[in-house]
Amino acid sequence: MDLPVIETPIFPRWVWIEEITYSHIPIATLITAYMLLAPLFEYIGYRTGNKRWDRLAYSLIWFALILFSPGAALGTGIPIFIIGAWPEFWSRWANLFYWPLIAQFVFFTLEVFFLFFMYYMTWDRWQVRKKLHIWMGVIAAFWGYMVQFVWDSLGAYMMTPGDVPLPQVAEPVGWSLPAFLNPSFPFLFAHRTFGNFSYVMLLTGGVLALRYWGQKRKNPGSENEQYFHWASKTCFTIGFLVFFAQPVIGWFYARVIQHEAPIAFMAMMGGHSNSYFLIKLAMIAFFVLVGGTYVIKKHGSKTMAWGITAGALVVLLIAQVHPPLKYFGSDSAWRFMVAALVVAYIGWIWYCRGRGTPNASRWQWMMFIAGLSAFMAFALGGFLREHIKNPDTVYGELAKPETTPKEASRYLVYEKWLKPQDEMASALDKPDVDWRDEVQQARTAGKVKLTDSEAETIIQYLEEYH
Amino acid sequence: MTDQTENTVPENTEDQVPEIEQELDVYPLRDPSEDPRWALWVMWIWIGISLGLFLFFVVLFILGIWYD
Amino acid sequence: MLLAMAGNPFIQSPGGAKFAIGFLGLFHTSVASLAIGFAFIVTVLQIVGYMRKDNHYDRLAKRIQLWHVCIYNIGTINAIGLVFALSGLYPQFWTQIFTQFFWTIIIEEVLFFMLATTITLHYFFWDTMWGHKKMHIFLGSLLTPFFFLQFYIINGMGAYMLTPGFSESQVSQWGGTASITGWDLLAFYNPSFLMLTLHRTSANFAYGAFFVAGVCGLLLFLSKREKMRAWHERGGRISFNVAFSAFLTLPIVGFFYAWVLKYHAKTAYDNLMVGKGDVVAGGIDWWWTKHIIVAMMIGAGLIFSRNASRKEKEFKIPMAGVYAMTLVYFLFYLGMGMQMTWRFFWASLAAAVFGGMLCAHLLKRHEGSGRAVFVLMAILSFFTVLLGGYAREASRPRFVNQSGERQAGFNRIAPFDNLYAPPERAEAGLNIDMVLEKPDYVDQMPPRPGQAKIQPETVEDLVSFRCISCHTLERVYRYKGTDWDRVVGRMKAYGMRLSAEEQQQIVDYLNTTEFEDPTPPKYKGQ
Repeated sequence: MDLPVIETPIFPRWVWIEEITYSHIPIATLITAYMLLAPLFEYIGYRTGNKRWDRLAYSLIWFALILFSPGAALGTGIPIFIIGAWPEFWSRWANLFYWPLIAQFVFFTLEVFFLFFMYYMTWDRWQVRKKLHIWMGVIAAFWGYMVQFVWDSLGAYMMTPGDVPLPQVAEPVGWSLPAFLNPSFPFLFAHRTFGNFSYVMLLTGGVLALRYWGQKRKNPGSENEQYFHWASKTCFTIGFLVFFAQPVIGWFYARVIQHEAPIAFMAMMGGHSNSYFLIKLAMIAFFVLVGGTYVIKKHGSKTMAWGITAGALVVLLIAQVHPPLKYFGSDSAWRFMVAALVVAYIGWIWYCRGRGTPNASRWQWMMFIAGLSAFMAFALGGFLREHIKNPDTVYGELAKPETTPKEASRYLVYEKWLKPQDEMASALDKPDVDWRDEVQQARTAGKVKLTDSEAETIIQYLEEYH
Repeated sequence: MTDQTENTVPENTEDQVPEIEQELDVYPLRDPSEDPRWALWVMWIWIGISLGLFLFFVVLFILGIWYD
Repeated sequence: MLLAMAGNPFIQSPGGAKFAIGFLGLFHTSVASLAIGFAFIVTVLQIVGYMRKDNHYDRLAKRIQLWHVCIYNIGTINAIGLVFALSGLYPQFWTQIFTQFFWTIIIEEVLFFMLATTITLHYFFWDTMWGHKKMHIFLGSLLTPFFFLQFYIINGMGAYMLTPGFSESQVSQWGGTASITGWDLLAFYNPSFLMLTLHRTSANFAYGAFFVAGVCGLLLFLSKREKMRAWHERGGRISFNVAFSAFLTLPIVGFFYAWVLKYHAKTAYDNLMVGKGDVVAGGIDWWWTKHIIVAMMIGAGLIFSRNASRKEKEFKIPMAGVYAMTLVYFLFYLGMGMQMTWRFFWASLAAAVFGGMLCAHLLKRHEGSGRAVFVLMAILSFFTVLLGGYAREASRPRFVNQSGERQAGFNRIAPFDNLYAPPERAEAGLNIDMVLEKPDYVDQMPPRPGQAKIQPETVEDLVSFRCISCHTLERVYRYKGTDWDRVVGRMKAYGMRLSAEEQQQIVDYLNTTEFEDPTPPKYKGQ
């Protein structure tokens, strides 16, 4: 496209779009999760007669409403900024997904209508019509979920366009089923669904835990203290247990990326984005350890212990199938280490069952910190997804205009050096290597097909950065 | 409904005076110390930020009359 | 930009692109304009309530703010739906104007967020702040200037579409860099932006307050309790007075707005006054229709105000002001009758008389209660807001045909017989299996079609087809500078695709041709 790129002040464009996106996404995911859970909680309260479920459901919706307008306003900032800062990308992408974008607008309008007018404003008035009220909540949640459905498809396409190229602006498309149902969409959608539930409930549980502690100090023995105690435990436990779907979904998500966006996969697994991925895993490990410990101390039942054990065994299975990491030297060492860690965790869980003082102040703070850790893991997930496909805006279809020489060279290394040799980025970390010689040998042996200038670029990059 | 109250089912909607009608007669000003401090902090901070941003934008538009 | 050569193909939308944009635009306007009016009336009610220490006003304000919180999001998503539709249906126009106004739109976006948060805090902290009531009212009052600034911005863009702001003799030094820097001074501060902003601001205050009055009127029909009825009647009357006061200011700004259009968008002015182009759709002149409705509102408002001034001790607008502004309206319509046809004047007068008689009847029928009048005025106000926006957009001359005549309708699309469409997957039904290799059919797909080109036959055609993609030919005819090579170069920077040969042809033609100014401005004494 011919329009020149607008330069942004102070920070480069990618920093601004990241700030705008991160201002919106936590709010939107929180609201979506709350909307999906509130009718469920309300229904449980209706069936069991326990009014706390109803109070919790109302609180979630009330908080969602407070966040809704600012969150929606921030959400509009994302396309507004993109249209001006990435006009070519926007024009072509909005062309391809025109009808989903219009559909998304309809879904959002319906979501607002049902949430505000039919669910929130009727809460007290429809106490005697509880089933109808719950249905309104379900409908509102459904439309909200459909909004996520559309945006996840559009976001997934940027990573795995499949066989649908990004059309030119002068080729009106409007709708494409294979583009909408692109390879990684179902996995991104599932991953974000369970991820939202998990991080939102962990964080909510943590916040409610602090409120419980506040009430315990100010109004000990009051209904509020008991309510917040119950609510924090309930939310936190839900968030923790739901998390165990994530490693399974994440595994298949990573596999799709490996096949459809191999260079992005390389970047994440051992490449230049690897450190963010490891930090994310560390955050997850933290809240799994802390969260699991709290949950089993709080709910001392064997059922809960077996449930956590089953989740841990699933993680073990995935780790066993995962290729060994280079740090451990051999395949057996990797398998042994992972198995030992998981078995130790399971043993710790069984040891902690019903022990200790989970109602103590330090545990309320630990819950909150675990919730924050879950939030950070979630935030890093989105960052990672966008970062690993650098310098492409749409993988394999459209590169960002401000691609630096280093990024371009690195892309070449991944695409033309590593991929033909079926190697990962960790293969670049060899000490004392004569890269010129290596490249020459590979070219002579026919392992890679490079032009002279490509070979020179690769050699310079490898000599400078590895 | 607030988080301090429990759910109640209205007993007889026809005879009950609507809650809003009961509120119309009194202008419930109260002592400033009765307002929660956290709410005041939020308000002051937000008023400060929004006024600052607003003035900044107005200045930008005034400058924009001369500068391109 | 490729589209300049291709004749601007676009995605097909049911009813056509104009219908889609029109529907979304009007839907958005009806909600967003309400939000602006709500913000104003809420502050007025809170201040009156505080001064009188009367919770009737404050509770009404709180209720309005709750509606505001609810509809704000509908307005938000509507706006973004409009943006998406414009992106898909008018990609070239949208991308160019967006880049031209980029930074103003970013400021608008920040204001959007500030407004959403302020409305939310103002409503949800209502009962928490009774110890700091003045601070709470101040927070709510911030909404009006924030909305005004936001409106200021969007009207700069909207007004630019009607009066792009070419100047008679000044050569713009800066326009060529607009698409890079995202700010274009002459485009933003175009001739009609201020009038449009003032006109719409007053109109939105009127519309929002009439809407509140209308809802109070409806609730009066539904309420059975005496206290609630008294509350709604009081709220309706004060809202009505605020609305009608704002309404009475409209002809003054409207007159100057029309004045600006007469000299800076002559064809649009003619379309409005004489009834041409899309202003007349479905056999109805919608500009006329809007003014007939306004005349009805004047008549009804005048009678209501008289009635109130005789009976009420409070909530009355000074009748001297009402009579004066009614006289201004009368003269306004007289002037319009002179420009358009006398039939228009008589029809407006009849509508005003009818409105007054209807209002008198409704007041009598409902025993002095304004409930039916409130509802009537709310409905009429709603239509005037929609029709005003529609008329502004419809009045723009759109296209020229090959003989240079302007035509309404979107008729420049080159036929596309072989559009590229991505094939469905080879397997039937949904297929979400992981694909390890690209299917063979990918290599057998036909190449993308070449861009269909409208072939200009003469240099005049070339000028017409290339230049008209972004602006009318008026500015070409009226430009008095001699640096056509720089001007055309600047247009290329804006995105017009020209080969070097075509550029030279156009520059040579423009340098050697004397254009007769089609509408010599009267103020130059010609």
